[in-house]
Amino acid sequence: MVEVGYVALAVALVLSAYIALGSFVGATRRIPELTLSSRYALYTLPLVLLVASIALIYAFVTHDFSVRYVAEHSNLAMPTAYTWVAFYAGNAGSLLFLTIVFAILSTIAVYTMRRKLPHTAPYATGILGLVATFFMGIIVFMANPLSRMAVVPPDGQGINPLLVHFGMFIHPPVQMTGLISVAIPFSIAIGAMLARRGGRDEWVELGRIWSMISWLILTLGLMLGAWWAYTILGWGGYWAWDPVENSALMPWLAMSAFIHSVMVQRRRGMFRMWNMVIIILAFTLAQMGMFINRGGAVPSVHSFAQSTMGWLFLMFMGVTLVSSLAVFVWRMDSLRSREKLDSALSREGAFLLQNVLFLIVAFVTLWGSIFPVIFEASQGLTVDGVTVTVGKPYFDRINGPILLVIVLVMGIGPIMPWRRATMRNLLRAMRVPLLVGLITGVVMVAIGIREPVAAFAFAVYGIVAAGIFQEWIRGTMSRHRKGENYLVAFGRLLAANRPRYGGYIVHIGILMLAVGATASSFFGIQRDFVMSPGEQASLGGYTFQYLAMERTSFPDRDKDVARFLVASGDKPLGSMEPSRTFYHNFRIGATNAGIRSTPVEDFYIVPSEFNDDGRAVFRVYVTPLVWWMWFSGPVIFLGTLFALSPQRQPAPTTVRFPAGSRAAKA
Amino acid sequence: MLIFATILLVLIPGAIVLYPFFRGKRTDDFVEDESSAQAELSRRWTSALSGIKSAELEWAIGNLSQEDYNWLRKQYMTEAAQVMKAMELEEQQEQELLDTIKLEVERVRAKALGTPPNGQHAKQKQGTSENRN
Repeated sequence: MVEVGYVALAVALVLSAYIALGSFVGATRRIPELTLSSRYALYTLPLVLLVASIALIYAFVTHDFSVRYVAEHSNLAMPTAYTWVAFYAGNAGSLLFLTIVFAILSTIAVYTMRRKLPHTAPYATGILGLVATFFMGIIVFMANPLSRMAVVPPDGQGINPLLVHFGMFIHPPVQMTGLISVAIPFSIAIGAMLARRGGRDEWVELGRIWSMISWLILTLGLMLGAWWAYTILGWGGYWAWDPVENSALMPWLAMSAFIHSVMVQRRRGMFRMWNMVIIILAFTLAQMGMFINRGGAVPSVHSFAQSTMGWLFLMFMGVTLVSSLAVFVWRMDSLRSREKLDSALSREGAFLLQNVLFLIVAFVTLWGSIFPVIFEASQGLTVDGVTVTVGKPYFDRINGPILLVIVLVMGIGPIMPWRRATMRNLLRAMRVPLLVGLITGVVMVAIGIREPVAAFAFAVYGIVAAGIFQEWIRGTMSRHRKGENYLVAFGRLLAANRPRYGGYIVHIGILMLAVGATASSFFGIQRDFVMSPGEQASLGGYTFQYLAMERTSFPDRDKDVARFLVASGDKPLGSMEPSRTFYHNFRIGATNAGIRSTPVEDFYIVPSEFNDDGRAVFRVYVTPLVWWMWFSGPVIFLGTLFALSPQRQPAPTTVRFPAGSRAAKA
Repeated sequence: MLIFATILLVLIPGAIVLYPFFRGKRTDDFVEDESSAQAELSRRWTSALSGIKSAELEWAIGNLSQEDYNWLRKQYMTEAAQVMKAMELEEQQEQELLDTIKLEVERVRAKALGTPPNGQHAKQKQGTSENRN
């Protein structure tokens, strides 16, 4: 079976190269049969890769430790369910996973664009083929997950303990899918330029849809990663500005900018060059994400995915960036906007400002992530053997205020009309939101919040939330005045303006995320406790009694579970069981926090150390409003789906009046 | 087993990839050019219509003053009217082109058959009946 997989990988490489070559030659030489043949080759690619994937899964399930990848990422004790995680636990498997997902997405994308964008589609297919060829080349020649070992070990090393978590079943695949999915809108945009269609706006609708899909996947990947970090890394936080986290955030920021500015192109035929630049940047940053993930050039908590292949990704990123910028310069003359910006005080003006801010955050993050590499390269490998890292304060201090301004623009922008707004009108429309913001700020101070930044941030959130709800209420009222009941009016308002109101739902989700992040960053409390069984302690209104520690030994690990009895004031909340597991093979200890989560706050216990005398060290956190961050995920998901749902526009109809009639004369 | 699987893995994708070279041309190969004037006008129409809808909504919920709404509405209506006019012209030109082609075909056919073209024949007949009236 493994050998069949080997053949499938080789066939996939040949197909990928054929897709790229055939599409470009077919499009430039106008050979429709060749173009169609390349497209069919793309449709076949996922099936061929599926055969290779089945071969790898079969090797895992049958514990075929002659396959190096299987021996390195599984063992006899590993439950079969973890085969899914083991598949992408290392570089070779994750590259295969990435490529099959990419092939599936590309197939769907090309299938949907073949009729809508017949001239662009072959070039887009060619670009997708080039990306697939790159991945397949690495898989076949450098990181083959099916390669065999000369000596077969009796048991494998086992799966990395940090991956043995429910979050790992979803987060890495979603994150990888998000990064590679940026290639789809990129290929559509560059394909349109190559087909000399970039200066017209026909590619925009599909580009917008695919960029939103990509943005949604990236968002979910980031949130699942944050949730995984919160529950398993045991430091009570969810975002550390770690280079790998940043590498996923940067394309997300660029895609956030793109999905807004592409709407301006769709609506007004503007920002044509700008959009091309942003999508090129987004794909470059997504590749940078893959480079940081695979390269191991920057120290990260995600060390399980390190390899020395990163430089190949860096080279590919360089080639893609230079060639796509060359296409951009080549076609620049055809990318002039149809219309000009009527006024900076308009919705498109707000989008532009927000775009710039998103890109500033992306570059601040990029600089913070790659600075250690640049510094070490310029100084020799390390300075006195010390590794240089850029810490959380740098990112918090620079990105924090900019992100807050982005949230504010997110509230004001949609209230402004397209084309032109007057200051008088804007202030009139903003009266209620500003008042709500002011009241929120005052309430924050009144309830004892002494952090001016936090109070200001909540005031901004108040403005944005009030702005969104005001739009909903006024829209519903205006329909109600025409005779519809409130519920029908609200439903029809949303249904008639799906991108707009779907966007508002997403903005509410982002607001929930911001509220959770601000509250947990400013008002979380933490303390370390050294406790013996039977002892009781309290923090932030919670009382917790350490009952006992129970150790369970498995062939590959020892698991220590601490049992706690927890109460909030006089109200008993039941028991909590945080644990710490030590994996012998990896010499790694993985924690599993005990978390009691409510919309108000989280009570979080994580064991740091268990002593032989029965005493143990626990770190305890009380963190407000974190629940809202996790709940924002489904809200963003639903909002994006709603915005993406198709909406028909009436086609123009020409009414002909008989010559000489009053209407014709008029 | 390996040889059989290898043959299948090469033959099936190979057949699918080569299929377009052996099948004949089909009508669904000819799709509308995404950059045709008609497609561009359709996009501009949708854009103008969305603009009007959006301006009406902004006005209804109080984000736009009457004056700004009137200005915006006028802009979008002008755009929509221009698009309609352009579509009409496009349609007219298309019809004229089709008529010319039809006449040319009839002329060639008539020449080949040695009879007057249908169009002229019909016109002659119509002229005769008008003269009678």
